[in-house]
Amino acid sequence: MNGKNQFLKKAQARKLQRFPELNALNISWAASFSLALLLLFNSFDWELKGFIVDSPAFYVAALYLIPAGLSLSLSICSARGIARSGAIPVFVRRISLLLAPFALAGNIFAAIAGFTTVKKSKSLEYQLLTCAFLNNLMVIMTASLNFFKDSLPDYFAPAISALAFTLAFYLAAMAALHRAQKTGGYKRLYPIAFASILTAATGNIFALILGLAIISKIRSSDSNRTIEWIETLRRIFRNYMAVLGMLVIIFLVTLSVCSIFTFDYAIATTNDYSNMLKPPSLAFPFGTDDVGRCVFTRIVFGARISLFIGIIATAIPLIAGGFLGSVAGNYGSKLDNGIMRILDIFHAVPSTLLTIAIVAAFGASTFNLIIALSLSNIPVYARTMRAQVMVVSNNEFVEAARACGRRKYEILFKHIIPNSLAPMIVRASVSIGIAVLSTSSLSYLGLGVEPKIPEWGNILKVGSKYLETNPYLAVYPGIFIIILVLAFNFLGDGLRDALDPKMK
Amino acid sequence: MKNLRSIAICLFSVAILFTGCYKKADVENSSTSNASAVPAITPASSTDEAESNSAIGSSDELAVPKEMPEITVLFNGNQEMSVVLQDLLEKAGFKVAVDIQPDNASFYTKVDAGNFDLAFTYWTTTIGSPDYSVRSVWHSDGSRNSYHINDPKLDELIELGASQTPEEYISTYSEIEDYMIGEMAYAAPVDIQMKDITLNASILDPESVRNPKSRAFQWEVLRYNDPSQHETLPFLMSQVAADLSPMDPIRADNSTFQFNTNCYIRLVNLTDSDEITTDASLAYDYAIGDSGSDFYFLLRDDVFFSKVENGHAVNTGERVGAEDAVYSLDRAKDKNSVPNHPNYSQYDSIDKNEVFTDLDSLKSIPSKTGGKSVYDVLQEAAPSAIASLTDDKSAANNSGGVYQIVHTSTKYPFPQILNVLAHTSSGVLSKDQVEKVNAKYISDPDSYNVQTDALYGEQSWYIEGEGYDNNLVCSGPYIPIKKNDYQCIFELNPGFMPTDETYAPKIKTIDYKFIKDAETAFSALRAGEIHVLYTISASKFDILNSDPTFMTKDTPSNIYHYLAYNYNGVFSNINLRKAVQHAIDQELVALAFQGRRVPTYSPITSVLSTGKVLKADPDMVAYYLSEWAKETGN
Repeated sequence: MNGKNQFLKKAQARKLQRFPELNALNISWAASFSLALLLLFNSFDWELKGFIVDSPAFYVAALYLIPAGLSLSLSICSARGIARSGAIPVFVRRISLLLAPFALAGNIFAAIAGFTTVKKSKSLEYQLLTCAFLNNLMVIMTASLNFFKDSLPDYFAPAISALAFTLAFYLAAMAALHRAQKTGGYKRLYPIAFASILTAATGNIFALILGLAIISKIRSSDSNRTIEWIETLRRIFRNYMAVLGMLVIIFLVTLSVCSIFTFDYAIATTNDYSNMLKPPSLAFPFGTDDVGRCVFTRIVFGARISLFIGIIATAIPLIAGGFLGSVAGNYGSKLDNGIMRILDIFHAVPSTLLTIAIVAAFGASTFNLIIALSLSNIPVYARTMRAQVMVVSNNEFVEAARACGRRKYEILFKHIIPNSLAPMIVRASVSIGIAVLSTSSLSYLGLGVEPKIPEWGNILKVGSKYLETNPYLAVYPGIFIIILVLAFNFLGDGLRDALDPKMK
Repeated sequence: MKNLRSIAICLFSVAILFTGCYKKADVENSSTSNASAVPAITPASSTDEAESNSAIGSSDELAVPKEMPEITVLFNGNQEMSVVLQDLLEKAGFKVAVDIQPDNASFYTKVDAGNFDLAFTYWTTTIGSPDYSVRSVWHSDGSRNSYHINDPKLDELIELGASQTPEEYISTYSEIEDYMIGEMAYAAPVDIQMKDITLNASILDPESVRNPKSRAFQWEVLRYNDPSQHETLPFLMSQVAADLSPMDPIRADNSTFQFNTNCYIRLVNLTDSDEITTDASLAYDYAIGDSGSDFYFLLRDDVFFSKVENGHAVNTGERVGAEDAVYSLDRAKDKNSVPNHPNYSQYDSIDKNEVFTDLDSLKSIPSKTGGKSVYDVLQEAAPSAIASLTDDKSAANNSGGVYQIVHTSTKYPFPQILNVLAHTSSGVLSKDQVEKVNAKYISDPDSYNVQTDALYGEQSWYIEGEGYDNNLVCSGPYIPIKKNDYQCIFELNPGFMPTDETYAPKIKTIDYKFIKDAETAFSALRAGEIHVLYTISASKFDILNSDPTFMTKDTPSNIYHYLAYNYNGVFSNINLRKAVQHAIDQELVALAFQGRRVPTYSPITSVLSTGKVLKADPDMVAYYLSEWAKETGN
């Protein structure tokens, strides 16, 4: 009897696992509930032993409790529905749309749950559009915090209205997509695809991917043939955490691009002695530092530098290490030995030490920092690539190419390298996070970028002096560093799963 | 149809975006050029503005430079200051690049190579005399004239000030200030640092912890709240430098100023506010001959040398006498007494030091003090009638009327020599011991090998371990017992004024820890691991204020922070230098450091305040920039 029960339980769990909606709803209520608790904790006055009812934190907490309750009940209903009839009840799908507007209160989890549950069959295009929409919505909301400041940046109004139009466009595109899927006029989506690529100018990479996906789907002659990269993407979108990671990264990219127009760089870098060490308020959401700069604005602009350094400092070793590794792996013998032994020497020096030595020798600047971070990473990529190239070059298709009389370098660049890239991409996605972390820690040590520039490590360094008196100065940049690194790690995990042949 | 509509919306939004940007860009271009030159906060009061406006005159219109110079500002660590100064200079319109060097050596490498436009640096007037505050850096022969200032007129003024008495020199130094800061702009003043000391009041008697302006922290006056702890509880303190320069007063540097000051007695001392005093010094009193170039010191007989025996300090029984004082001053004056003697030039003005024994002539030498003879002045301070003078220190006996007198004469009237004699480097050494330890070097200086030959006072003598052979003989209230990488232990000198209640040291052991990191030192203070701490960062005072255990004493120091110019670059132009001077808003600097900095004018300000101020003023900046633009055609 007991064994049977256990089996049934497992079968039930497997059944439930097939529904990403359930997962999203569960995460939604758990996250909303914990955030509400956190906010309630913040609005509690320890001296008066009561909640400060008129504080913004209290209202927002109440606003978070609603989606928490809603998601929880929806999750229970759909679990029952699945148990009973093997599908999520229609009324649950309808009601779940109510969760979407909570995105306006910053509750991204509820919004994702809403968008995931409302539609039964979710095409990749729909998911991309949802993400693109949420992404730009968050950017608008972040920029809207500037309304509480004394003055708005010069291009604020046109930039915000442009962003609002992209939102409208994404909604319209969703409707168009829905119709096209119902009526089968997929080819008519061409203009949508181009417009979507145009909106990617805001930094919204989801929109770019969407446009490219639609175009390549239309252009592929055989609708039954699958397109490899779109399939990979589809597999990534099955992984909730990977999507969340992607959303965070692309949000920061979009924010970095849009902050040129929606934020005032002067607030981030110009000292304002009339506003020193102010606690968080609506005008200064994360407070001000010891020379009166808005920490929130500094973090927003810091995202640009951190991401830029992270991506460039990963791209350089990816390309250089990848090239050296593939040459070594492909040509073997003396060349292999030569390249790899030289790289071994680099590898033997602890990477942090090498970075510090380079920065200390050539001076602290963004350029030197990138070079330093890149150099110490080349051997790692070269080793990965070499191993992968050696595995791939034993495959039959390489032999076939050789039998056809292809030259060695042609085989390398046309057949071997494209098939060896998967582990490199995964490694790169994780090591961007590490590069961001290294930049921050080097800036924290005073070896990174110059102190005026709003890099996250710099902001953290200033905050660390006030850990006891003004802890928020260090906590917020710390949280952002954690979130960015986590996001890259989640994306890296998702990519690895999606590129794994066994998961196909 | 729906698709077309959405595309239309999208294109429309893009169109709006571009038109918006275009219009804004127009406005932007027309407004930036003026706006950038005006700092956000204008501290100058209305009267100041009126003055500066009249100074500028209504001559002709201000020229706006076509292109502002790009300047590199060199810093030595000071990240916080770099943020403040870069901001001020950028608000004044300069294009600023910041170059932060991690340590002294790399900072001065850049300075010597001339790879900078402005350098943030400081000068400390350690002996509280106005001559010292300007000579080393701004005199063309100055030993620390790293920025190559060579101005005959300034040299002349400095020499004039040196030869005058305090009453006379006020106007001279005022003129020096006007010339070097106001007229020639040889420095852009930034601030004077506050000197703070925080003590653990639950252990230490707060009254006994002094915070002197110039001199090093004074150990012999320290007392615990509970006197019974004096024998048992070591006094704990910390400093950054663990690699110590020699315990030889003339070779002291930042790592050992405090140690040498407390281990070797001097003829005179400085009070907390930098006046000359004989408190806790070897002399009862001093007298100045009316020529202004003769100085007589009447010595005490109750100060004895100490040495280390079996790991503890003992009284050698050898008196610290006039012979030792004369020997030590002669040695300080002699360039070749030690290798790379850093302090000899201070003693340039001394003509001769001697043990003075002619009591009769003393009575006939008039002093500067109101018609009294030198003898009268000295007799007033002596505990008994001066019956005879001796040149043998062992024969001195004050209660019996036998005294010793040191006579120092200068080549020209130089009253500020007293400040030099109060400096650490004038500490009195044991003639016998130094000559014994340094015998080889004294007989043949060329054979000296820095690797193998340890001279008197070098740390290798008293570092724990195999080479330990503590041969120090100290005349001050304390003596180093042993040292390792983490701490240096001192013990009191039992022969230091044993019967004097105020100045006989009471706390037996001083445990000086080496803590490199300021945050760690601060934590150590709060944890009770050290009892006092110097220069806490501004952000920490809020934390301490709430804790009654800790007490902070504050005084403006003699540390003058300023921006030095590279006269070979764009700052060869005097108008540009003055523009920088007026761009540095010292009140904002003070504000940024939460009041831990005080506005200043010249390096003399902290020693001899003439009440001059340099107000930041955007109008003056604009005026000088315009003059610069006209001159250089920029």
